[in-house]
Amino acid sequence: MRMKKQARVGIVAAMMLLLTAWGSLAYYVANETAHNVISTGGLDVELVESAINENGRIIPFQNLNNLLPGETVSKIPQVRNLGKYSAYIRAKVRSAATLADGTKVDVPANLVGVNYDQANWKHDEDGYFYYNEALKEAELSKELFDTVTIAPELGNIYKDATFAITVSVEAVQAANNGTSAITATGWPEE
Amino acid sequence: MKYLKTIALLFSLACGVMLVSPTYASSKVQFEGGAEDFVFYPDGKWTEADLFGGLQGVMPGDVRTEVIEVRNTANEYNYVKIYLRAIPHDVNNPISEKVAENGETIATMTDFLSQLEMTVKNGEQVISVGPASRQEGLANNVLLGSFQKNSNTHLTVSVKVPNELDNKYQYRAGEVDWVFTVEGVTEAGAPDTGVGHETEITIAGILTTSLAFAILGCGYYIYRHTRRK
Repeated sequence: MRMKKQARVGIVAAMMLLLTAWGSLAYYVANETAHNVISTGGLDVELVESAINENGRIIPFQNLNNLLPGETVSKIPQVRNLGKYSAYIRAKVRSAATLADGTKVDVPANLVGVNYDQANWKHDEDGYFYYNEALKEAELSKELFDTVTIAPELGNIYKDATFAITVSVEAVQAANNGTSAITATGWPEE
Repeated sequence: MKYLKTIALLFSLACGVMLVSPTYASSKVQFEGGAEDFVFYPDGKWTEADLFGGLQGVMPGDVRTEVIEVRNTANEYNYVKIYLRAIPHDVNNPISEKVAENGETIATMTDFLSQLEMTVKNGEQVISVGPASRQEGLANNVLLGSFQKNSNTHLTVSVKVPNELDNKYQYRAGEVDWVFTVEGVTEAGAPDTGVGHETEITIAGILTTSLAFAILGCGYYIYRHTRRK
């Protein structure tokens, strides 16, 4: 009987201990903040103009004076992608002159000959030249043209005039944007 | 008798090991307990606790995903409950220094984030969908789960950038603040909704199992002793 009672007491004690362990509960609360940032990329291109001097070296392009009709000069525009993301590029060339009396005029295309690289730049009916490939990060394009020729038949009205051959460049992202510069969308409207 | 012993042996084996299958995550937030509480293992560059490293330099048309591991490694608790909520930016919660240096204000940043659609999943469960500026599903604390030591879950954050995103959103930055809250619980018989468990048996588990066997053993002894008499 004594052993049975001792066993009973032992079982009850064990159960109480078990219930106490099961029922004990403590809470601790803490929090911390994560400051997460989403960022967008962008495009950045630059027009690089160079020329080949009389020694055959490539130098930065500089304005030229006292050109005569029929003369050919070296002018080499290229585009460099300064951004991290591939870009499609297009360029447009405008010829204008400021006459001796200060009048500004557009110069007809036949009076200024430009030696375009049509193998790498496709001329579209909208007047732009579209580069055939997406320009990758830090990549420099092939030359848009490399020489400009003043037509021999240039009239006297252009005597002492200042000619400006202006190249403007635009870029759109290549990612998620068609398969070529011509099929890409997002080009700025004129 | 032999049958009873066999069952006891199987029971003790069942209290043992479950192997952990590691899952790769590019960033991690870990509750370590002690003096550290939450520790962030960031993947981003804008702040010291930036978990969105995979969401940098997004471009129109992109769909980007970030996987964030949430793990408990604390020793002090039988299990922890971890909650997540998003908090807006206002006078009481200014934007971080580098984001401000990028030229952002709360208003411009909110406008930028409203252009992006963000989906947040906890495992397979979607807990928030909508503009990254609002995150209505995370307006209040969302329980991510109950985790024993070394148990974890994975949050998946997907950001969709519209194709027609305007040029004015180039080189922009938007800050999304998340508050992780933990409740550490010291209670035996802990639930665990996480993935992966520690490979050792907890002290509470040993105590509970031992007491259970002690009670069974005493009961069996009394039964045998009574029968002999």
